[in-house]
Amino acid sequence: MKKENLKNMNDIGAAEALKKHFPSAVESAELVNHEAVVYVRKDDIKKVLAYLKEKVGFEYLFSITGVDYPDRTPRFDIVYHLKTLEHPLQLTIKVKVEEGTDVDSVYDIFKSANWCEREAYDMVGVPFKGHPNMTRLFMWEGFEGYPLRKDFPLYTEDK
Amino acid sequence: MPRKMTINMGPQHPSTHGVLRVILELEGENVVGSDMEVGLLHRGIEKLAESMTYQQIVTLTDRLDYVTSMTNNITYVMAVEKLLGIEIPPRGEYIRTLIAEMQRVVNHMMFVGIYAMDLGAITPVFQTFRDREIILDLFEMISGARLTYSFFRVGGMREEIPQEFFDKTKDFNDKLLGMIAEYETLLTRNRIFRARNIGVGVVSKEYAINCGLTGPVLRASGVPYDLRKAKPYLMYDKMDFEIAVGDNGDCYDRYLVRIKELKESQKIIAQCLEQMPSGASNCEDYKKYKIPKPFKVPAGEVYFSTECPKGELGFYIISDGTKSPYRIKINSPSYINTAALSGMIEGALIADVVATIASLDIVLGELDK
Amino acid sequence: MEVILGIAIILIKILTIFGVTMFIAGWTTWVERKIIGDMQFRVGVERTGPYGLMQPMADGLKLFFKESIVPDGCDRVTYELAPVLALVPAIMSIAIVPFAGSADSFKIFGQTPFIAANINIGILFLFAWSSLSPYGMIFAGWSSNNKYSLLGALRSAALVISYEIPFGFSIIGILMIVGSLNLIDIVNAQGSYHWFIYRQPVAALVFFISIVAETNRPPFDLSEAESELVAGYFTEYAGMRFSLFFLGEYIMLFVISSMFTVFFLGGWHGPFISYDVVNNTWVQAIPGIGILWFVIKSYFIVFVYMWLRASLPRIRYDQMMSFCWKVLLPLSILNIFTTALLNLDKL
Repeated sequence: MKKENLKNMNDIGAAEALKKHFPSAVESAELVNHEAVVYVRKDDIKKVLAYLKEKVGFEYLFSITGVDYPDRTPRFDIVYHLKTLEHPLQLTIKVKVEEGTDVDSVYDIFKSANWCEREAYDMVGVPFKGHPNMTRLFMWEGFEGYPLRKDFPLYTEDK
Repeated sequence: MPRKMTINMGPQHPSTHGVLRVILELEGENVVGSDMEVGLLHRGIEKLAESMTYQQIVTLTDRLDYVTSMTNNITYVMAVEKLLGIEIPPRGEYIRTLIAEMQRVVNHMMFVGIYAMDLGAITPVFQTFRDREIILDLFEMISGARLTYSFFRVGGMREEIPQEFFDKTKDFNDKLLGMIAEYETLLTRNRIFRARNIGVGVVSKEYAINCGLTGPVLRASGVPYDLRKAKPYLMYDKMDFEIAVGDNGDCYDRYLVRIKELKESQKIIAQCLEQMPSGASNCEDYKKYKIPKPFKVPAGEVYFSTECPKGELGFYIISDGTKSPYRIKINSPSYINTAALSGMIEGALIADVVATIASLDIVLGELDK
Repeated sequence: MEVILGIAIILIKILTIFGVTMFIAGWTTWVERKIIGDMQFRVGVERTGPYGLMQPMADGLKLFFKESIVPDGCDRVTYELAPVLALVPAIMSIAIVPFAGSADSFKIFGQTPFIAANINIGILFLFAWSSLSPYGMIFAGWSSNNKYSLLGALRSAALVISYEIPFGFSIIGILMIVGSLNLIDIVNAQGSYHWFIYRQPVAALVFFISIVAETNRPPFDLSEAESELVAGYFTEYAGMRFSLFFLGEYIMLFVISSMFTVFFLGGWHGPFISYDVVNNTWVQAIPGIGILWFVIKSYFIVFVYMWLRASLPRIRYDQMMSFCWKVLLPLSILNIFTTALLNLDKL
């Protein structure tokens, strides 16, 4: 997977090339609707993202999302959206995380991960290891629960 | 050893654009450290959306960036349409392009006015708001609201647009360049304005990309990235326009980029009006998607983003095949741009902090979601 | 009898001038709102009285009856002293405003010039009092126990040492030509059309920029920069105490503008005046019209102030300081030398 080849690739092509380069770290690479979704092993996420940024040119990380699947183990998906600025390519990289475990922070690779990781932690409660300031972003300190988990109630009775 | 002073800028402060709280550490007036606290306007839009039907969520997107509701609507409905696999007839796409550009004009006018006011010039804000009102009146004509339009719906738009709207838009568009020239007389070559802006809040190209900055802020740093060109959507591939790019990434470049974009939008609006085809503007089976009957969306996921006036606004929607989304992630430009503020104001003066915040053109409704 | 009459004349003059100036200062706010409103495509005040003319009165009443909040942890003595210190220099400076020369004044009690205190050190008096007004700001900012106020006070302290020097130096050229510190002498030296604004254009420019800074008006309103420091040094002031600051600012605005008229625009002299050799003074074509000329000229300067406010962004305080030290000061010194060379015969 090389920078020069990106020109002739589409999203899923890039995803498959990534799988070829990291046969063990990448669990699957498939097209869901129009998105190239790559599942990466949790421990290798930092390695894969660093490789994508420095060697391939996916230098623009713009979104980190936490998704809760309460009936599944591991329970959470952390979704990274990456793209290149030179070519219209975009990758959706997912990591499965079990409740109570943490993910490696990618803050030292992408500065944009700063708030994105804090938000993901704030909303679904997956901490990021190595983040310099792993505190809540939107909710106040001392807030109980994680609002975007599925078991967080939408309405509460007034006390 | 000078003693440091910590000062709270906001959440109640005239120029933090809402309820952004910036905690500045000062030595004299020099900023040596800063921290930010956000979330004071957090309404849990992502959580609310999980309990609403797809068509209802359009009203939530109005409340994100309440200055540019139309583009928020367009981005959201296009994301859902991509998930559904709906095609919109050319007239519908042209109308969306036209209104998106009008919304860009509104936003950038507001930016110029508010930006000048934060720098202490009190007149430009009246000029720009006076002219902005014309477009707001036009939007009111088609949607009945001045700010929260909810005009675009999944599959099309709420109502057909009357011919009068196009005529009046054309009148407005013909005068637009004159209006922009009027704003520029007070600002662009003003010595004080330049002194306050040039070299202030500089963002290098590398820092901009690494922080994921977006929109005019990214382009002012010399990155010619505009989704309208990079990944053309709607009718932008048929339009003739240029990307506004700056050189130094300072506040002045951000201002110039927006002025240039105003002029480019004028061109796009003119082309849209010229090429506007006749025919239907909603998709074929629009009845299926009409309120109040909810519709189901096939399972899957989509990330769709457009170049909103403030930058890339993206909706990441995960559907589980029911009437409401499983998860919606809103990737908003104000959020991503504000996150990088600390690095821009290191070593600046308080007056520069105000200028830098204003030059990012943030809206807290979008930042806090 | 002579003494009593003299005291009575002085008292009447003081009361009249004081009353008129306070009135003018109050209604200057109305003028400002109307003019800036017009420049910004707005109507301005219009609800209170015809054309909103009673607005200053309503504002004053409101401020008078408002609670004067004292912030927690403030230094009480300095806090209460600060508004007074801001107002007193402004009122004291009224004393030397020469509204009209002796020939134009009332002739009931002999000929007295229409000026409360015709002192020989008029310019020094003005400089002395106007230099005191920053103390009000510094006291206010320091005592309020608010960091924004403190920053505003520090800014005004930093500024006052920057603009006071070119402010004083710019007048020296005129002093060298006239040879007197008396304001009436300065006006008389200008005659009908020998205004100093074109005999001393550089000095006029430096003086004008300095007085804009002196009165804390945009674009030099750094110590109360509302978009940066909320309201600067008077952030914590409310009610009557706030209105004292406000009043002081507007009185100073008028006084300083009238000083520009005295120094550079020929004071109360209008066109078509003739020299009265017997009394050694200038005589207006229409007796008594001098006051009108004076007010018109002064108000033109006030208008320029408002014009600046409507058009310019605020300058940054470090830029302001380097501008004062690196541009205005050398210019004013250069002006002194040039004037000296051109007027060698008078020295």
